[in-house]
Formats: sequence, C-alpha cells, structure tokens
Amino acid sequence: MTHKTNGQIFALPILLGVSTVAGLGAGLIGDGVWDVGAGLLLALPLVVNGRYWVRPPEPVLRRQQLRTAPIRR
Amino acid sequence: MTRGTIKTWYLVHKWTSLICTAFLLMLCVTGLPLIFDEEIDGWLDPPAPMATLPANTPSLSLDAILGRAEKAAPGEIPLYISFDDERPIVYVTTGPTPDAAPAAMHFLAFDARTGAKMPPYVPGVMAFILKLHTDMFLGFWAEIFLGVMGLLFFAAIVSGVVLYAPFMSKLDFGTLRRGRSKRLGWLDRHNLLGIVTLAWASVVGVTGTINTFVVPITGIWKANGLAEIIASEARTPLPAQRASVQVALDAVQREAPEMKPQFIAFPGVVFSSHHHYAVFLKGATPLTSKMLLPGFVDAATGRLDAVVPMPWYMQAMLLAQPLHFGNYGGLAMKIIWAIFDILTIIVLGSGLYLWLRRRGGPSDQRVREVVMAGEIA
Repeated sequence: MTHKTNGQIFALPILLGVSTVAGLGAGLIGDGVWDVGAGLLLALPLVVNGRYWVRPPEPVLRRQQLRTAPIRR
Repeated sequence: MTRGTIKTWYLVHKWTSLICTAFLLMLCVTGLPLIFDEEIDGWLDPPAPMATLPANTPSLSLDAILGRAEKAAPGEIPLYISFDDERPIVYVTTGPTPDAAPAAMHFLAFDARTGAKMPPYVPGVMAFILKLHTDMFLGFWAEIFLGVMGLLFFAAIVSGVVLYAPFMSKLDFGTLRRGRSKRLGWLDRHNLLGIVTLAWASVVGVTGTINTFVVPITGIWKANGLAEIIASEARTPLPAQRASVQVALDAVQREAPEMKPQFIAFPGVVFSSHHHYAVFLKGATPLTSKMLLPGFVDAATGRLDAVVPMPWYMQAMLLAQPLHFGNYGGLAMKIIWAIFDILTIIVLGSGLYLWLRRRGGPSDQRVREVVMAGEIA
C-alpha cells in the first residue's frame, strides 16, 4: 500500500473546515439568504460525516471481497 | 514525521485531552440545552402580554421610567438600563451599591410607552444551567479555569490533527473498520468525528475561552482606551442631583443617529466610570448589531465628554459571543449547533474510551498504533 501525501490526507478535511468557517461567517454578515447559506455550509461536514458513518466506504468493501474470494474457491 | 515527533504530539494529545475532558463533557452537556435557551424560556415562561397601542406611540422619557423603578425598588440605585430587541420594553437593574453582587440586584421591566410595570425577570432553570456552564457556581476564578480548559481543548484538537496525518497515511478518508475489534472501530470513529468537527469545535472552544476573559479584557480597555475618562475621576464627587438620563442618551445618539441604544451603565459599575453615564449604542444591521459604540456623558452636568470607538480586542470579544452561542442564524443554525455539540461529546467520550481500553506497555506502543493506523498485531 502506498503512503498518501499530506495533500491527499487533508484535502477533504480542509474543504470541510473552509465550509464550516464560511458558514459561521455568513451567518454573522446578514439575515435571510445569508442564514440559509450559513446553514447549508455548516451542514456539509455533517452530511459528509453521516455518509461515512452509515455506509462502509467502497474501498474497504473491495478489500474484504478480495480477502474472502480464495475461501469460496 | 519521525517517531520522536509523533511521540511528542501523542503525549501532548494525551495529556491535554485527559486534563480537559471531564470539564469539556460538562460544558457540552450543559451547552446543549443552552443552544435553545430562548425557545425553552419562552415555553416555560411565556412573555407577558403588552397593551396594544398604535405602532408610533412615543416612548416615555427614561427619567420617568427611572422614577417608576425607584418606587418599585425603594432605597436602591439604578445600575443599568437596557432595551429589549423586539418589544418596547425597558429593563432597569437596581442594587444597593454600584459594586453590588448580581445576586443582590433587582431586575425590573417596564412598558416603554406607558411605564406599566411588567412581570420581572425570574431566573429559571436555564439561568441555573447557564451559571453551571459559566463558572459551576464557583465564581470568577472558576470561570477563568474553564477558559484555560478551553485552551487545553484547542491544544488537544491541534495535536489530534497532527496525529491524524500519520494515522491516515494508508487509509482512505472516513474509513471505519467494521467487524474488527471494538476498540479499532472506535479509533476510526474518533478520527472521523474529530476531523469533521475540527473547525466548529475550534471556533466554539476558542470563543468560549475569550468569553471567560470578559472582565479582565474590559479592565484592560478601561485602563488604556478610557484613561482620559478615568482621569476625570479626580473631579469632585457626584452631587445627589443627577443629570437627565434621557438627555444623556439623546446627546450620544446625535453622534451616531443610525445606531440604536443597547444599554446604559450608571456611574460606578463595571462598564462605566465613577462620573459618567456610559451609553452603549449598537449598529442597526445584523453584522454591526454585534458592535458597540460607547459614549460617556458627565452624570453631574449632562455634558457629552467623549464617544470612544472600542479597540480591536473589545470588538473581537463582542464578536466572539454569537460565535460561541450559535444564536445568530435562526433555528436551523441552532439545530446544526446541537448536532455538532453531540458529535463533540462522542469525540470526547470515545477518546476517553480509547485511553481506558489501551493495551499495556510503554507509550511507544501508542506511537506504533498511530503509525500503523491501529493495526498492531
């Protein structure tokens, strides 16, 4: 297995962090449409978290299938 | 990253977390209902009905309101006047002396248009939870202590992010290894939740710490930015006959007509000098409403001495408040705040669980765990 670079490791976390901070700021700037935008930006990390929490990510599934394949044969 | 570096960061993460976790759990648990404090208070103690009057009914003079407050709390002096955001209500805080403890103060509410006395604010269950959250009923130093716990929490977040890199070097984002040991499953969840809540937890943690330093920061401002005003304390003591508060408010408001009054601090209280009415105006837009502009009016003569824009550190402190409370973006934001809060509780709880269920052996064993993404045979 190859080592990931810091860029690969932190790409998604940085995106989620920027989304959170932008949401926190947008809510301060104004009401109405700003609050809606703030809600959406802040919800993004929660949605991403929910997606990974509930469903096993694809690569792990593939690895598990590879591991069980020889036994079936 | 060398093993030595990882070990250092591991030890920082371990100790900062261990010290602050119990307090952070208390803060997250008490903070959860506080997010909805307006809703819960409005439900437990519905706002009293007010007389229906035409929308343009003028307000009474603040001096008339103060007269009513004097009758309602005889023998006490006014300390603060503040204004309701939504309804025409004026709140008057009175106490035996300017330096009275909050417990000895009285909070009175009046209809700004008629001067009718409204049911007073009664501290309820939310006030109790807030006090627990702020200083655990142990006073100033306990509040500062919780502020320091907030800093440790932030250090735990930073060191956790540093350890995230070697841990995840062979794993895809969000990997949760199911069907393996329970501890490994929680190690993955701790990492996923920690990295997802990173920005929110940092902002709420750091702004919480800033909030605990309100009194010392205000003290610095008074000592520096308000030095000239404080210098006026050498003047003769205030006579019993005070200048009109309404005239003081009008004088400051003429300097910034687009702003609205937030509160007025009377001579001798924390937010004023011994000689002035300190009139705090706030902006009328959502962003500027967090920013305050104080004007200082001589309480003996009614002369406007100065309008002093707050320095950056006071502005930063004021801006930190909504960012900590999450009460500035409607109900949707409060629900998001609550979810982040619960996720943070899980991060804290799983961190504690991971430490309690650690394998024996020296801390090098934990470094190995970080480098091998938890896969130690």
